[in-house]
Amino acid sequence: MEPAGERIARLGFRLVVVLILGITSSTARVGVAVGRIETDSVTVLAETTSSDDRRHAEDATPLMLEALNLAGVTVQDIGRLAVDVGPGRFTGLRVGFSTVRALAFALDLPVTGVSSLEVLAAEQGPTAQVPVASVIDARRSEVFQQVYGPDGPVGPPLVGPALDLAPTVPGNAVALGDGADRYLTLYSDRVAVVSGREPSPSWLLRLAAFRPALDAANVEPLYLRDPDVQINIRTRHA
Amino acid sequence: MILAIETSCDETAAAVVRDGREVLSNVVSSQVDLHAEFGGVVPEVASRAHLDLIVPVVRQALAEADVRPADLTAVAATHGPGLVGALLVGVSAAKALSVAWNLPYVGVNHMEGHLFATLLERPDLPLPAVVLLVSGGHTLLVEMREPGRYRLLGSTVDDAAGEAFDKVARYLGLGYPGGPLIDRLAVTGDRTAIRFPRGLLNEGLDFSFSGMKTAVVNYVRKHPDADNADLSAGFQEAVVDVLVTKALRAAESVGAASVCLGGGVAANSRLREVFAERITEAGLTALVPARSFCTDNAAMIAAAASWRLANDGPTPLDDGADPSLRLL
Ligand SMILES: [Zn+2]
Repeated sequence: MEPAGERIARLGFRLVVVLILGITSSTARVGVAVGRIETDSVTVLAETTSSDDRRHAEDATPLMLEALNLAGVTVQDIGRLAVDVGPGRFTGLRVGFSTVRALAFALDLPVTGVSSLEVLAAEQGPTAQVPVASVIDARRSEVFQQVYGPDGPVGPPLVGPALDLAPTVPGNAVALGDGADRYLTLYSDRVAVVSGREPSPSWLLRLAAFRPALDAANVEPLYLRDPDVQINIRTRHA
Repeated sequence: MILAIETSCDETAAAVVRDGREVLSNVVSSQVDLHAEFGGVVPEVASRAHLDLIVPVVRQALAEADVRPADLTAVAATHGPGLVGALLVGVSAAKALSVAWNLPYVGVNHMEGHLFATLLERPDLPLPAVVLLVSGGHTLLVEMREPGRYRLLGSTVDDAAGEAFDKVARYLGLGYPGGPLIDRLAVTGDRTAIRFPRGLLNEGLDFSFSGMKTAVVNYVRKHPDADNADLSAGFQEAVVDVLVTKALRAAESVGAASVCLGGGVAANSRLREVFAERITEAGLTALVPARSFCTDNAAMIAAAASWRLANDGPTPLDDGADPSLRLL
Protein backbone atom coordinates (compact mmCIF):
# COMPACT_ATOMS: atom_id res chain seq x y z
CA MET A 1 0.00 0.00 0.00
CA GLU A 2 1.22 3.47 -0.81
CA PRO A 3 1.52 5.94 2.08
CA ALA A 4 -1.63 7.87 2.84
CA GLY A 5 0.06 11.21 2.26
CA GLU A 6 0.85 10.26 -1.30
CA ARG A 7 -2.69 9.07 -1.83
CA ILE A 8 -4.06 12.36 -0.69
CA ALA A 9 -1.57 14.22 -2.88
CA ARG A 10 -2.52 12.08 -5.86
CA LEU A 11 -6.18 12.93 -5.26
CA GLY A 12 -5.19 16.54 -5.50
CA PHE A 13 -6.28 17.62 -2.05
CA ARG A 14 -4.28 20.09 -0.06
CA LEU A 15 -6.36 19.56 3.07
CA VAL A 16 -5.99 16.29 4.88
CA VAL A 17 -9.55 16.40 6.17
CA VAL A 18 -12.29 16.29 3.57
CA LEU A 19 -16.02 15.79 4.04
CA ILE A 20 -17.64 13.37 1.62
CA LEU A 21 -21.32 12.89 0.81
CA GLY A 22 -22.54 9.74 -0.92
CA ILE A 23 -25.87 8.61 -2.36
CA THR A 24 -27.07 5.06 -3.08
CA SER A 25 -30.19 4.71 -5.22
CA SER A 26 -30.02 1.53 -7.29
CA THR A 27 -32.56 -0.48 -5.28
CA ALA A 28 -35.96 0.18 -3.71
CA ARG A 29 -34.34 2.33 -1.01
CA VAL A 30 -32.39 5.51 -1.39
CA GLY A 31 -29.65 6.30 1.12
CA VAL A 32 -27.32 9.16 1.95
CA ALA A 33 -24.20 9.16 4.11
CA VAL A 34 -21.85 11.93 5.17
CA GLY A 35 -18.31 11.10 6.27
CA ARG A 36 -14.99 12.63 7.14
CA ILE A 37 -11.87 11.49 5.30
CA GLU A 38 -8.70 11.90 7.32
CA THR A 39 -5.14 10.96 6.43
CA ASP A 40 -5.77 7.24 6.21
CA SER A 41 -9.25 6.68 7.52
CA VAL A 42 -12.84 7.55 6.83
CA THR A 43 -15.38 8.12 9.59
CA VAL A 44 -19.08 7.94 8.79
CA LEU A 45 -20.75 10.88 10.55
CA ALA A 46 -24.34 10.22 9.53
CA GLU A 47 -26.40 7.87 7.42
CA THR A 48 -30.05 8.16 6.40
CA THR A 49 -32.06 5.62 4.42
CA SER A 50 -35.59 5.72 3.06
CA SER A 51 -38.15 3.08 3.80
CA ASP A 52 -38.69 0.55 1.03
CA ASP A 53 -41.12 2.76 -0.83
CA ARG A 54 -39.49 3.46 -4.18
CA ARG A 55 -40.03 7.17 -3.77
CA HIS A 56 -36.48 8.12 -4.70
CA ALA A 57 -37.33 11.48 -6.22
CA GLU A 58 -39.36 12.51 -3.18
CA ASP A 59 -36.90 11.17 -0.62
CA ALA A 60 -33.40 11.88 -1.95
CA THR A 61 -33.16 15.61 -1.19
CA PRO A 62 -34.81 15.50 2.27
CA LEU A 63 -32.60 12.52 3.22
CA MET A 64 -29.55 14.45 2.13
CA LEU A 65 -30.54 17.44 4.27
CA GLU A 66 -31.23 15.13 7.19
CA ALA A 67 -27.84 13.43 6.86
CA LEU A 68 -26.06 16.78 6.67
CA ASN A 69 -27.99 17.97 9.68
CA LEU A 70 -27.18 14.83 11.68
CA ALA A 71 -23.52 15.22 10.78
CA GLY A 72 -23.65 18.84 11.90
CA VAL A 73 -22.38 20.22 8.59
CA THR A 74 -23.81 22.09 5.62
CA VAL A 75 -23.72 21.06 1.99
CA GLN A 76 -21.25 23.90 1.35
CA ASP A 77 -18.78 22.13 3.69
CA ILE A 78 -18.70 19.03 1.48
CA GLY A 79 -15.47 18.51 -0.45
CA ARG A 80 -16.21 15.34 -2.39
CA LEU A 81 -19.13 13.30 -3.64
CA ALA A 82 -19.71 9.60 -4.08
CA VAL A 83 -22.41 7.83 -6.03
CA ASP A 84 -23.58 4.30 -6.43
CA VAL A 85 -23.35 3.85 -10.23
CA GLY A 86 -25.53 0.74 -10.33
CA PRO A 87 -26.43 -1.62 -11.78
CA GLY A 88 -29.99 -1.50 -10.50
CA ARG A 89 -33.27 0.28 -11.07
CA PHE A 90 -32.78 2.74 -13.90
CA THR A 91 -35.18 5.33 -12.55
CA GLY A 92 -33.78 5.19 -9.03
CA LEU A 93 -30.22 5.42 -10.29
CA ARG A 94 -31.01 8.49 -12.30
CA VAL A 95 -32.40 10.27 -9.25
CA GLY A 96 -29.10 9.62 -7.43
CA PHE A 97 -27.03 10.58 -10.46
CA SER A 98 -28.99 13.69 -11.31
CA THR A 99 -28.71 14.84 -7.69
CA VAL A 100 -24.97 14.13 -7.52
CA ARG A 101 -24.20 15.66 -10.91
CA ALA A 102 -26.15 18.81 -10.04
CA LEU A 103 -24.38 19.09 -6.68
CA ALA A 104 -21.02 18.53 -8.34
CA PHE A 105 -21.77 21.31 -10.82
CA ALA A 106 -23.19 23.75 -8.26
CA LEU A 107 -20.44 23.24 -5.69
CA ASP A 108 -17.61 22.39 -8.10
CA LEU A 109 -16.92 19.01 -6.50
CA PRO A 110 -15.29 15.84 -7.83
CA VAL A 111 -17.18 12.54 -7.79
CA THR A 112 -16.21 8.92 -7.17
CA GLY A 113 -18.49 6.21 -8.54
CA VAL A 114 -18.69 2.73 -7.04
CA SER A 115 -20.68 -0.25 -8.29
CA SER A 116 -23.74 -1.20 -6.26
CA LEU A 117 -22.59 -4.83 -6.46
CA GLU A 118 -19.24 -3.92 -4.93
CA VAL A 119 -20.87 -1.90 -2.14
CA LEU A 120 -23.01 -4.92 -1.27
CA ALA A 121 -20.01 -7.27 -1.28
CA ALA A 122 -17.81 -4.93 0.77
CA GLU A 123 -20.25 -4.78 3.66
CA GLN A 124 -20.23 -8.57 3.90
CA GLY A 125 -16.44 -8.82 3.46
CA PRO A 126 -15.57 -11.59 0.99
CA THR A 127 -12.81 -14.03 1.97
CA ALA A 128 -11.03 -16.81 0.12
CA GLN A 129 -13.10 -19.34 2.03
CA VAL A 130 -16.40 -17.48 1.62
CA PRO A 131 -16.72 -15.35 -1.53
CA VAL A 132 -19.71 -13.05 -1.88
CA ALA A 133 -22.21 -13.10 -4.75
CA SER A 134 -23.92 -9.72 -4.99
CA VAL A 135 -27.28 -10.09 -6.72
CA ILE A 136 -29.53 -7.14 -7.63
CA ASP A 137 -33.01 -7.48 -9.05
CA ALA A 138 -33.12 -6.51 -12.73
CA ARG A 139 -36.86 -7.25 -13.21
CA ARG A 140 -38.31 -9.45 -15.96
CA SER A 141 -36.99 -12.52 -14.08
CA GLU A 142 -33.44 -11.25 -14.49
CA VAL A 143 -30.71 -10.23 -12.05
CA PHE A 144 -27.45 -8.30 -12.07
CA GLN A 145 -24.82 -10.50 -10.48
CA GLN A 146 -21.12 -10.37 -9.65
CA VAL A 147 -18.96 -12.56 -7.44
CA TYR A 148 -16.31 -11.01 -5.17
CA GLY A 149 -13.29 -12.64 -3.50
CA PRO A 150 -10.82 -11.08 -1.08
CA ASP A 151 -8.90 -9.44 -3.94
CA GLY A 152 -11.89 -7.96 -5.71
CA PRO A 153 -14.33 -9.11 -8.37
CA VAL A 154 -14.12 -12.62 -9.78
CA GLY A 155 -15.30 -11.96 -13.32
CA PRO A 156 -17.38 -9.12 -14.73
CA PRO A 157 -20.84 -8.01 -13.65
CA LEU A 158 -23.46 -10.10 -15.42
CA VAL A 159 -27.09 -9.56 -16.33
CA GLY A 160 -29.36 -12.43 -17.17
CA PRO A 161 -32.15 -14.72 -15.99
CA ALA A 162 -31.82 -15.61 -12.31
CA LEU A 163 -32.48 -19.17 -13.40
CA ASP A 164 -29.24 -19.14 -15.43
CA LEU A 165 -27.04 -17.02 -13.16
CA ALA A 166 -27.84 -18.56 -9.76
CA PRO A 167 -26.18 -21.88 -10.71
CA THR A 168 -22.93 -20.06 -11.60
CA VAL A 169 -22.36 -18.88 -7.99
CA PRO A 170 -19.52 -20.89 -6.35
CA GLY A 171 -20.83 -23.37 -3.80
CA ASN A 172 -18.86 -21.87 -0.91
CA ALA A 173 -20.17 -18.33 -1.48
CA VAL A 174 -22.88 -16.37 0.30
CA ALA A 175 -25.42 -14.60 -1.90
CA LEU A 176 -27.01 -11.30 -0.94
CA GLY A 177 -28.94 -8.37 -2.33
CA ASP A 178 -32.55 -7.81 -3.37
CA GLY A 179 -32.08 -10.17 -6.33
CA ALA A 180 -31.06 -13.02 -4.04
CA ASP A 181 -34.06 -12.18 -1.84
CA ARG A 182 -36.46 -12.14 -4.75
CA TYR A 183 -35.23 -15.42 -6.22
CA LEU A 184 -34.51 -16.91 -2.81
CA THR A 185 -35.26 -20.52 -3.67
CA LEU A 186 -32.98 -20.41 -6.74
CA TYR A 187 -30.07 -19.13 -4.63
CA SER A 188 -30.70 -20.89 -1.33
CA ASP A 189 -30.81 -24.22 -3.18
CA ARG A 190 -27.14 -23.75 -3.82
CA VAL A 191 -25.55 -21.32 -1.34
CA ALA A 192 -26.22 -19.53 1.94
CA VAL A 193 -28.28 -16.35 1.47
CA VAL A 194 -27.95 -13.32 3.73
CA SER A 195 -31.31 -11.65 3.33
CA GLY A 196 -32.38 -8.02 3.57
CA ARG A 197 -29.17 -6.45 2.25
CA GLU A 198 -29.22 -3.19 0.29
CA PRO A 199 -26.20 -1.21 -0.94
CA SER A 200 -25.27 0.82 2.14
CA PRO A 201 -24.36 4.49 1.75
CA SER A 202 -21.79 4.15 4.57
CA TRP A 203 -20.02 1.37 2.70
CA LEU A 204 -20.19 3.46 -0.45
CA LEU A 205 -18.22 6.16 1.41
CA ARG A 206 -15.70 3.67 2.79
CA LEU A 207 -14.97 2.38 -0.72
CA ALA A 208 -15.00 5.78 -2.41
CA ALA A 209 -12.86 7.62 0.15
CA PHE A 210 -9.46 6.53 -1.15
CA ARG A 211 -10.23 6.18 -4.83
CA PRO A 212 -9.72 8.83 -7.49
CA ALA A 213 -12.41 11.47 -7.65
CA LEU A 214 -13.28 12.57 -11.17
CA ASP A 215 -15.11 15.28 -13.00
CA ALA A 216 -18.81 14.36 -12.62
CA ALA A 217 -19.35 14.03 -16.38
CA ASN A 218 -16.81 11.18 -16.39
CA VAL A 219 -18.71 9.14 -13.82
CA GLU A 220 -21.37 7.21 -15.70
CA PRO A 221 -24.26 5.00 -14.68
CA LEU A 222 -23.69 1.28 -15.16
CA TYR A 223 -26.92 0.28 -16.90
CA LEU A 224 -25.65 -3.08 -18.24
CA ARG A 225 -28.75 -3.30 -20.40
CA ASP A 226 -29.88 -1.45 -23.50
CA PRO A 227 -33.08 0.58 -23.24
CA ASP A 228 -36.35 -1.21 -23.89
CA VAL A 229 -37.62 0.18 -27.12
CA GLN A 230 -41.16 0.89 -26.22
CA ILE A 231 -42.72 3.82 -27.99
CA ASN A 232 -44.79 6.01 -25.77
CA ILE A 233 -46.62 8.05 -28.33
CA ARG A 234 -49.53 8.95 -26.06
CA THR A 235 -47.33 10.81 -23.66
CA ARG A 236 -45.25 12.46 -26.32
CA HIS A 237 -45.74 16.07 -25.81
CA ALA A 238 -44.02 18.62 -27.98
CA MET B 1 -34.28 35.84 -11.56
CA ILE B 2 -35.29 32.21 -11.93
CA LEU B 3 -33.37 29.27 -13.38
CA ALA B 4 -35.87 26.74 -14.75
CA ILE B 5 -35.42 23.21 -16.05
CA GLU B 6 -37.74 21.31 -18.40
CA THR B 7 -37.31 17.56 -19.04
CA SER B 8 -40.88 16.28 -19.42
CA CYS B 9 -40.45 14.62 -22.80
CA ASP B 10 -37.68 14.69 -25.38
CA GLU B 11 -36.22 18.17 -24.98
CA THR B 12 -33.66 18.91 -22.28
CA ALA B 13 -34.10 22.60 -21.59
CA ALA B 14 -32.94 25.28 -19.16
CA ALA B 15 -33.60 29.01 -19.09
CA VAL B 16 -33.00 32.08 -16.99
CA VAL B 17 -35.87 34.57 -16.82
CA ARG B 18 -35.95 37.88 -14.96
CA ASP B 19 -39.18 39.10 -13.31
CA GLY B 20 -41.17 36.33 -14.98
CA ARG B 21 -40.96 37.92 -18.41
CA GLU B 22 -37.49 38.94 -19.50
CA VAL B 23 -35.84 35.91 -21.10
CA LEU B 24 -32.09 36.09 -20.52
CA SER B 25 -31.39 32.64 -21.94
CA ASN B 26 -33.47 29.82 -23.37
CA VAL B 27 -31.43 26.70 -24.12
CA VAL B 28 -33.12 23.66 -25.65
CA SER B 29 -31.28 20.47 -26.52
CA SER B 30 -33.56 18.34 -28.66
CA GLN B 31 -33.22 14.58 -28.64
CA VAL B 32 -35.37 14.22 -31.75
CA ASP B 33 -32.57 12.53 -33.71
CA LEU B 34 -32.14 9.93 -30.97
CA HIS B 35 -35.77 8.90 -31.24
CA ALA B 36 -36.25 9.20 -35.00
CA GLU B 37 -35.00 5.67 -35.68
CA PHE B 38 -37.70 4.30 -33.37
CA GLY B 39 -40.52 6.38 -34.87
CA GLY B 40 -41.49 7.84 -31.51
CA VAL B 41 -40.16 8.84 -28.11
CA VAL B 42 -38.62 5.90 -26.26
CA PRO B 43 -38.92 6.76 -22.53
CA GLU B 44 -35.75 4.98 -21.42
CA VAL B 45 -33.71 6.52 -24.24
CA ALA B 46 -35.11 9.95 -23.32
CA SER B 47 -34.31 9.53 -19.63
CA ARG B 48 -30.73 8.47 -20.31
CA ALA B 49 -30.21 11.42 -22.63
CA HIS B 50 -31.69 13.88 -20.10
CA LEU B 51 -29.23 12.67 -17.48
CA ASP B 52 -26.29 13.28 -19.82
CA LEU B 53 -27.54 16.67 -21.02
CA ILE B 54 -28.93 18.23 -17.87
CA VAL B 55 -25.76 19.76 -16.44
CA PRO B 56 -24.33 20.96 -19.78
CA VAL B 57 -27.68 22.58 -20.62
CA VAL B 58 -27.96 24.29 -17.22
CA ARG B 59 -24.36 25.47 -17.47
CA GLN B 60 -25.05 26.94 -20.90
CA ALA B 61 -28.24 28.66 -19.74
CA LEU B 62 -26.36 30.40 -16.92
CA ALA B 63 -23.48 31.31 -19.22
CA GLU B 64 -25.72 32.75 -21.96
CA ALA B 65 -27.66 34.75 -19.40
CA ASP B 66 -24.34 35.82 -17.91
CA VAL B 67 -25.60 35.32 -14.36
CA ARG B 68 -24.02 33.75 -11.33
CA PRO B 69 -25.89 31.48 -8.92
CA ALA B 70 -25.81 34.36 -6.41
CA ASP B 71 -28.01 36.39 -8.79
CA LEU B 72 -30.79 33.76 -8.79
CA THR B 73 -33.90 33.86 -6.61
CA ALA B 74 -35.23 30.33 -7.23
CA VAL B 75 -34.67 27.10 -9.13
CA ALA B 76 -37.71 25.60 -10.89
CA ALA B 77 -38.44 22.39 -12.77
CA THR B 78 -41.37 20.82 -14.60
CA HIS B 79 -42.82 18.19 -12.22
CA GLY B 80 -45.57 16.90 -14.52
CA PRO B 81 -47.28 15.88 -16.67
CA GLY B 82 -44.84 13.91 -18.83
CA LEU B 83 -42.67 10.82 -18.88
CA VAL B 84 -41.95 10.01 -15.26
CA GLY B 85 -38.35 8.87 -15.77
CA ALA B 86 -37.63 12.01 -17.76
CA LEU B 87 -39.32 14.35 -15.27
CA LEU B 88 -37.34 12.89 -12.36
CA VAL B 89 -34.02 13.91 -13.89
CA GLY B 90 -35.01 17.57 -14.01
CA VAL B 91 -36.78 17.57 -10.65
CA SER B 92 -33.83 15.89 -8.90
CA ALA B 93 -31.31 18.26 -10.45
CA ALA B 94 -33.39 21.34 -9.61
CA LYS B 95 -33.84 20.28 -6.01
CA ALA B 96 -30.11 19.58 -5.63
CA LEU B 97 -29.25 22.97 -7.15
CA SER B 98 -31.70 24.69 -4.82
CA VAL B 99 -30.05 23.03 -1.79
CA ALA B 100 -26.52 23.75 -3.02
CA TRP B 101 -27.30 27.42 -3.69
CA ASN B 102 -29.69 27.84 -0.78
CA LEU B 103 -32.61 28.87 -3.00
CA PRO B 104 -36.32 27.98 -3.00
CA TYR B 105 -37.43 25.17 -5.32
CA VAL B 106 -40.56 25.55 -7.46
CA GLY B 107 -42.27 22.58 -9.16
CA VAL B 108 -44.21 23.70 -12.23
CA ASN B 109 -47.07 22.12 -14.17
CA HIS B 110 -45.90 21.77 -17.78
CA MET B 111 -49.31 22.80 -19.14
CA GLU B 112 -49.33 25.94 -17.03
CA GLY B 113 -45.91 26.63 -18.53
CA HIS B 114 -47.45 26.55 -22.01
CA LEU B 115 -50.14 29.00 -20.87
CA PHE B 116 -47.47 31.33 -19.51
CA ALA B 117 -45.59 31.18 -22.82
CA THR B 118 -48.27 33.51 -24.16
CA LEU B 119 -47.72 36.02 -21.33
CA LEU B 120 -43.97 35.75 -21.80
CA GLU B 121 -44.42 37.16 -25.26
CA ARG B 122 -47.32 39.53 -24.49
CA PRO B 123 -47.34 40.53 -20.78
CA ASP B 124 -50.27 42.88 -21.58
CA LEU B 125 -52.32 40.13 -23.26
CA PRO B 126 -56.03 41.15 -23.22
CA LEU B 127 -57.84 38.79 -20.84
CA PRO B 128 -59.81 36.61 -20.67
CA ALA B 129 -57.92 34.61 -23.26
CA VAL B 130 -58.63 31.29 -24.89
CA VAL B 131 -55.49 29.21 -25.43
CA LEU B 132 -55.38 26.43 -28.00
CA LEU B 133 -52.72 23.99 -26.76
CA VAL B 134 -51.77 21.46 -29.41
CA SER B 135 -48.97 18.94 -29.12
CA GLY B 136 -48.13 15.28 -29.48
CA GLY B 137 -49.76 14.54 -26.14
CA HIS B 138 -52.50 17.14 -25.80
CA THR B 139 -55.16 19.02 -27.68
CA LEU B 140 -56.83 21.44 -25.29
CA LEU B 141 -58.88 24.60 -25.33
CA VAL B 142 -58.31 26.45 -22.08
CA GLU B 143 -59.88 29.65 -20.86
CA MET B 144 -57.39 31.82 -18.96
CA ARG B 145 -59.34 34.44 -17.03
CA GLU B 146 -56.13 35.52 -15.35
CA PRO B 147 -52.89 33.74 -14.41
CA GLY B 148 -53.78 30.84 -12.12
CA ARG B 149 -57.48 30.82 -13.10
CA TYR B 150 -58.14 28.35 -15.87
CA ARG B 151 -61.11 26.46 -17.22
CA LEU B 152 -61.00 23.52 -19.60
CA LEU B 153 -63.33 24.22 -22.53
CA GLY B 154 -62.55 21.27 -24.78
CA SER B 155 -60.12 18.45 -25.42
CA THR B 156 -59.60 15.52 -27.75
CA VAL B 157 -61.77 12.45 -27.37
CA ASP B 158 -59.15 10.24 -29.03
CA ASP B 159 -55.77 11.17 -30.56
CA ALA B 160 -53.92 14.40 -29.89
CA ALA B 161 -53.33 16.57 -32.96
CA GLY B 162 -49.59 15.91 -32.98
CA GLU B 163 -50.22 12.20 -32.60
CA ALA B 164 -52.46 12.30 -35.69
CA PHE B 165 -49.68 14.03 -37.65
CA ASP B 166 -47.22 11.34 -36.51
CA LYS B 167 -49.54 8.49 -37.43
CA VAL B 168 -50.36 9.87 -40.87
CA ALA B 169 -46.69 10.60 -41.56
CA ARG B 170 -45.78 7.06 -40.55
CA TYR B 171 -48.55 5.65 -42.75
CA LEU B 172 -47.33 7.70 -45.71
CA GLY B 173 -43.78 6.54 -45.05
CA LEU B 174 -42.53 10.07 -44.41
CA GLY B 175 -40.73 9.33 -41.13
CA TYR B 176 -40.70 10.87 -37.69
CA PRO B 177 -41.57 13.35 -36.25
CA GLY B 178 -44.63 13.72 -38.44
CA GLY B 179 -45.61 17.35 -37.90
CA PRO B 180 -42.61 19.09 -39.44
CA LEU B 181 -42.42 16.53 -42.29
CA ILE B 182 -46.08 16.98 -43.28
CA ASP B 183 -45.75 20.74 -42.90
CA ARG B 184 -42.81 20.81 -45.30
CA LEU B 185 -44.34 18.44 -47.85
CA ALA B 186 -47.73 20.18 -47.76
CA VAL B 187 -46.17 23.38 -49.08
CA THR B 188 -45.63 21.65 -52.43
CA GLY B 189 -49.08 20.00 -52.47
CA ASP B 190 -52.57 21.23 -53.38
CA ARG B 191 -54.59 21.60 -50.19
CA THR B 192 -57.87 21.61 -52.11
CA ALA B 193 -57.13 18.49 -54.16
CA ILE B 194 -58.41 16.08 -51.52
CA ARG B 195 -61.02 17.12 -48.99
CA PHE B 196 -60.82 15.05 -45.84
CA PRO B 197 -63.66 14.98 -43.29
CA ARG B 198 -63.43 17.38 -40.35
CA GLY B 199 -64.06 15.41 -37.15
CA LEU B 200 -66.77 16.94 -34.92
CA LEU B 201 -66.43 20.24 -36.82
CA ASN B 202 -69.94 21.43 -36.08
CA GLU B 203 -70.30 19.96 -32.61
CA GLY B 204 -69.12 21.56 -29.39
CA LEU B 205 -65.54 22.21 -28.37
CA ASP B 206 -64.09 18.70 -28.24
CA PHE B 207 -61.82 17.28 -30.93
CA SER B 208 -61.59 13.94 -32.70
CA PHE B 209 -58.68 13.13 -34.98
CA SER B 210 -58.67 9.36 -35.27
CA GLY B 211 -61.40 9.40 -37.95
CA MET B 212 -59.38 11.86 -39.99
CA LYS B 213 -56.36 9.58 -39.88
CA THR B 214 -58.58 6.65 -40.95
CA ALA B 215 -59.91 8.76 -43.81
CA VAL B 216 -56.35 9.20 -45.11
CA VAL B 217 -55.77 5.44 -44.89
CA ASN B 218 -59.02 4.70 -46.74
CA TYR B 219 -58.28 7.28 -49.40
CA VAL B 220 -54.85 5.81 -50.10
CA ARG B 221 -56.33 2.31 -50.35
CA LYS B 222 -58.74 3.55 -52.98
CA HIS B 223 -56.19 5.77 -54.73
CA PRO B 224 -52.81 4.07 -54.40
CA ASP B 225 -51.26 6.64 -56.77
CA ALA B 226 -52.31 9.63 -54.68
CA ASP B 227 -49.57 12.21 -54.31
CA ASN B 228 -48.07 12.38 -50.81
CA ALA B 229 -47.81 16.17 -51.06
CA ASP B 230 -51.53 16.50 -51.84
CA LEU B 231 -52.40 14.00 -49.11
CA SER B 232 -50.27 15.93 -46.61
CA ALA B 233 -51.72 19.28 -47.65
CA GLY B 234 -55.30 18.00 -47.55
CA PHE B 235 -54.90 16.30 -44.18
CA GLN B 236 -53.13 19.29 -42.66
CA GLU B 237 -55.84 21.60 -43.98
CA ALA B 238 -58.54 19.49 -42.33
CA VAL B 239 -56.72 19.44 -38.96
CA VAL B 240 -56.03 23.18 -39.08
CA ASP B 241 -59.64 23.94 -40.04
CA VAL B 242 -60.97 21.99 -37.06
CA LEU B 243 -58.47 23.50 -34.62
CA VAL B 244 -59.10 27.09 -35.65
CA THR B 245 -62.88 26.70 -35.96
CA LYS B 246 -63.10 25.34 -32.43
CA ALA B 247 -60.73 27.94 -31.01
CA LEU B 248 -62.96 30.66 -32.49
CA ARG B 249 -66.11 28.99 -31.20
CA ALA B 250 -64.55 28.71 -27.74
CA ALA B 251 -63.56 32.37 -27.80
CA GLU B 252 -67.09 33.38 -28.75
CA SER B 253 -68.65 31.16 -26.11
CA VAL B 254 -66.70 32.77 -23.25
CA GLY B 255 -66.39 36.26 -24.68
CA ALA B 256 -62.61 36.07 -24.88
CA ALA B 257 -60.62 39.17 -25.77
CA SER B 258 -57.74 37.23 -27.24
CA VAL B 259 -56.97 33.81 -28.62
CA CYS B 260 -53.51 32.25 -28.28
CA LEU B 261 -51.69 29.34 -29.75
CA GLY B 262 -49.29 27.04 -27.87
CA GLY B 263 -47.69 23.58 -27.86
CA GLY B 264 -45.41 21.83 -30.31
CA VAL B 265 -47.99 21.66 -33.11
CA ALA B 266 -48.22 25.46 -32.91
CA ALA B 267 -44.96 25.40 -34.85
CA ASN B 268 -46.97 24.25 -37.91
CA SER B 269 -46.76 27.02 -40.49
CA ARG B 270 -50.24 26.53 -41.97
CA LEU B 271 -51.83 26.51 -38.51
CA ARG B 272 -50.02 29.74 -37.61
CA GLU B 273 -51.18 31.38 -40.83
CA VAL B 274 -54.85 30.34 -40.69
CA PHE B 275 -55.10 30.93 -36.94
CA ALA B 276 -53.84 34.53 -37.16
CA GLU B 277 -56.01 35.25 -40.21
CA ARG B 278 -59.33 33.93 -38.93
CA ILE B 279 -58.98 35.13 -35.33
CA THR B 280 -58.09 38.63 -36.51
CA GLU B 281 -60.98 38.59 -39.02
CA ALA B 282 -63.29 37.85 -36.10
CA GLY B 283 -62.10 41.05 -34.42
CA LEU B 284 -60.12 39.34 -31.67
CA THR B 285 -56.47 39.62 -30.68
CA ALA B 286 -54.57 36.65 -32.08
CA LEU B 287 -51.34 35.69 -30.35
CA VAL B 288 -49.07 33.29 -32.17
CA PRO B 289 -45.89 33.12 -30.03
CA ALA B 290 -42.48 32.56 -31.58
CA ARG B 291 -41.92 28.90 -32.38
CA SER B 292 -39.27 28.69 -29.65
CA PHE B 293 -41.92 29.55 -27.03
CA CYS B 294 -44.56 27.19 -28.50
CA THR B 295 -42.46 24.05 -28.47
CA ASP B 296 -41.25 22.73 -25.12
CA ASN B 297 -38.86 25.15 -23.47
CA ALA B 298 -37.78 26.17 -19.98
CA ALA B 299 -38.42 29.92 -20.34
CA MET B 300 -42.16 29.26 -20.08
CA ILE B 301 -41.49 27.12 -16.98
CA ALA B 302 -39.55 29.99 -15.41
CA ALA B 303 -42.40 32.40 -16.21
CA ALA B 304 -44.97 30.12 -14.56
CA ALA B 305 -42.60 29.49 -11.63
CA SER B 306 -42.22 33.18 -11.01
CA TRP B 307 -46.00 33.57 -10.68
CA ARG B 308 -46.39 30.39 -8.60
CA LEU B 309 -43.57 31.39 -6.24
CA ALA B 310 -45.16 34.79 -5.66
CA ASN B 311 -48.63 33.32 -5.12
CA ASP B 312 -48.10 29.89 -3.53
CA GLY B 313 -44.53 30.07 -2.23
CA PRO B 314 -41.85 27.41 -2.73
CA THR B 315 -42.58 23.74 -3.38
CA PRO B 316 -41.54 21.38 -0.54
CA LEU B 317 -38.38 19.37 -1.25
CA ASP B 318 -40.21 16.07 -0.71
CA ASP B 319 -42.33 16.79 -3.78
CA GLY B 320 -41.57 14.35 -6.61
CA ALA B 321 -42.93 14.15 -10.13
CA ASP B 322 -46.43 13.26 -11.28
CA PRO B 323 -46.63 11.90 -14.85
CA SER B 324 -50.37 12.57 -15.04
CA LEU B 325 -50.44 15.88 -13.16
CA ARG B 326 -53.56 17.85 -14.03
CA LEU B 327 -53.98 21.56 -14.39
CA LEU B 328 -57.76 21.67 -14.53
ZN1 LIG C 1 -45.35 20.71 -24.04
